[in-house]
Amino acid sequence: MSDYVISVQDVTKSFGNVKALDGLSLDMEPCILGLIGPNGAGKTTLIRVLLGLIKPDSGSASIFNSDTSNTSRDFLGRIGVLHENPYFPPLMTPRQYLTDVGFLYPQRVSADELLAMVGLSDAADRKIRNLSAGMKRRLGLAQALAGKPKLVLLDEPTSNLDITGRDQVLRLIVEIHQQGKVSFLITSHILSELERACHQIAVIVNGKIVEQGSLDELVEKHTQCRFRVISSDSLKMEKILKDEQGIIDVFVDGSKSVIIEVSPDYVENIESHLEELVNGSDIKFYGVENTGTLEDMFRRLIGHE
Amino acid sequence: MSENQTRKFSTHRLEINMSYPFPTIVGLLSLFIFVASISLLNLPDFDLDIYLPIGWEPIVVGEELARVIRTLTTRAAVASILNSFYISLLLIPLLIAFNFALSFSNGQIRTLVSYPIEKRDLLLVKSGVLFILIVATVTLGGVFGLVFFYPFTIDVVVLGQFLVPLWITIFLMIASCMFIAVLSRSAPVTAVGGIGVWFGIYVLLPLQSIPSFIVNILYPIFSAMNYVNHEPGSPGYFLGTTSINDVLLGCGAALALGALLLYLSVLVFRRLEV
Amino acid sequence: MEREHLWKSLFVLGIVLVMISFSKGTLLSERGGILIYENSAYRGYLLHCSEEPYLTLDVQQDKLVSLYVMTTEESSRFIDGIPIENVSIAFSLVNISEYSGLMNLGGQGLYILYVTTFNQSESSIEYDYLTYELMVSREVPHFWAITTGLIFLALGSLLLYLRILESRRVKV
Repeated sequence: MSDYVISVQDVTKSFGNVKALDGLSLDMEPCILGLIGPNGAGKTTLIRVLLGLIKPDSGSASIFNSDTSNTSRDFLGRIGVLHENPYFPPLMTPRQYLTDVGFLYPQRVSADELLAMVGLSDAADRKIRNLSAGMKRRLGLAQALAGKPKLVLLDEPTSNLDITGRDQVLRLIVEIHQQGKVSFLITSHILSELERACHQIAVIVNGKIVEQGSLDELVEKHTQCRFRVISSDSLKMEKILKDEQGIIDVFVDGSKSVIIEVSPDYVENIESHLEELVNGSDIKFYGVENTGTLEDMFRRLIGHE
Repeated sequence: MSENQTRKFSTHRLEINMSYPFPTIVGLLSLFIFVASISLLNLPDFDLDIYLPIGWEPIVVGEELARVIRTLTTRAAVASILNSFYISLLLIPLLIAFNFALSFSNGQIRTLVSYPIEKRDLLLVKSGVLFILIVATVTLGGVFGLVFFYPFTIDVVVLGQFLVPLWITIFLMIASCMFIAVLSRSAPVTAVGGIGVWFGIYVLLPLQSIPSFIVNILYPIFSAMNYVNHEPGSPGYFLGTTSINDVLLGCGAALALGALLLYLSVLVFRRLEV
Repeated sequence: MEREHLWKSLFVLGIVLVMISFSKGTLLSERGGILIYENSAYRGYLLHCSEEPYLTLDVQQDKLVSLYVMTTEESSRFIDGIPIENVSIAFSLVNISEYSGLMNLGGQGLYILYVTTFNQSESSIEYDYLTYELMVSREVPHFWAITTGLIFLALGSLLLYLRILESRRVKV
């Protein structure tokens, strides 16, 4: 019996000629795991395999040591799910829906509590068809938490939410994880948010996990050659840096900031290199810092793949 | 209701609230009340007369009177449910198309099977709830019409002889349309296929080449009507004389066929990728 | 939420019943005939009538008929041999060639409407055949249907009114 919440071994799944999962392996400890990858990488297919909605062509997947091909009631009773495009009955109200969904689980959170958690108390008795897209997303999160799950799978949980809503959802996820020891598997395209909430990251490309580990370690590993150069004029700076040997990639990131990717040799004396470059020009060089964001890491990995 | 009982019927409750909101249920009930009542108000009046010649025989005429009273009773019972049944021929495939087949493409099935609901239970609950809804509304509509417009003709035995085969026919229709829905996972195919199959059979019924036992199995309601009310205009009249054994065997076979179709639907549904 | 469902249900059912009550219902539409010399023969028609059905009778060639309406129980007695004068008649018309009007039967139920010829002993033709057109239709609107429909509508309105009062109280 392993301590992993999720354990996927060499799973392959094809749909016709399209190979959605190609020998994917993933082990998830109790944590908040962010699953990132380009469109069509296999994120949603993996979630469906984990829920037992589709059977892999080969390999095995288990949640809490239960094989996912045996989708018994007990097994699903410990999982909450928010699909990318969930269905909600248009004529029911959030309160009715969450009450009915709660009764499907052996343990449940009351509808009023769930609504308060996700900020939908005022819309509790409005018909679901009259809710905005953002409110429906919150409702989706609420129904994923209805059964006091031990693992929650969230596919794009913050899409259609405004910035306040996204903050609220992320804070809620972190709170629930800390208080209730609930693990989360989150897929999202908004990498800055995953950075705030996740402990672990797994990168999926072409149906394979290409990288997995702690967020900080991965970001450091893949962005040690990535820097932000602050200067008085980023456009002019970019022109100068473009043709410089040792600089692999450069792009403007604001009126005063340019992001560069350099070769490992360049890293050691990067500040002096840059000072030399701007010497004699009308650009003022203010400084350079290692950028190290999840987005940078993702761009680098996708670029290589 | 205790906590365990509430949880036991949680799937049913969710299905009713999700697929058959209040306006649908009241609409169906009103429709069948309306249809049954109008059918009763326009009951055919042929063959309801008796003749008393000079010097009539009391026993003979008395029997004739009893016959016409029986004719009116059975005719009213038939009228109260027959047109509602014809509407069910359209309604059942459409309801299954929109409440089940369509739910594959709109994400409802994917959402529901992500909850702790067995696929088998999900399909059986969807079929069961629809069965109870149609049976209840058709029966209530018919009984309501009889109570209002023909209260003195209500014979529980006669009504029972129609209602049980009617319920079995509805069960068979639901099972077959569910099977089509599970195989096709398409709302248009389910609607067209279901209506086509059942209306097609109905249109072909009077053809002499179809053996009567096939009719008894597929439409137990018609063989029951023919058994109780064998007269021109009765939908099963072309069957000739129908015995009680024909009706019972037909009902039993229809039940078995419906159960088999449901079982096959569950088997297929469990293996479906969602 | 249940009370909301209840008043809406009562409204819908009330409207359906009121609509049904205005539906025309012909109980009997008959073009019948009877041999004139058989003046003690009767042709009977079974009807399930409301309290006051509408009768239209038109006898061809200005001949005369008599019409008797009785319950099925009284009809059984009559068939068994009790003279018509000793049987309880709900409605009768004697020696008429045409009639249009309500029949006050005293209650809803199963009735037999008998048509018989007037004694045509003065007729010179031994086997003269008399034809008539007979139509019986329900009263419109149907009393019980419209009454029940209006009761449902009234109850629905009352529940709606109570709901509005309650929501105003909550706002205050």
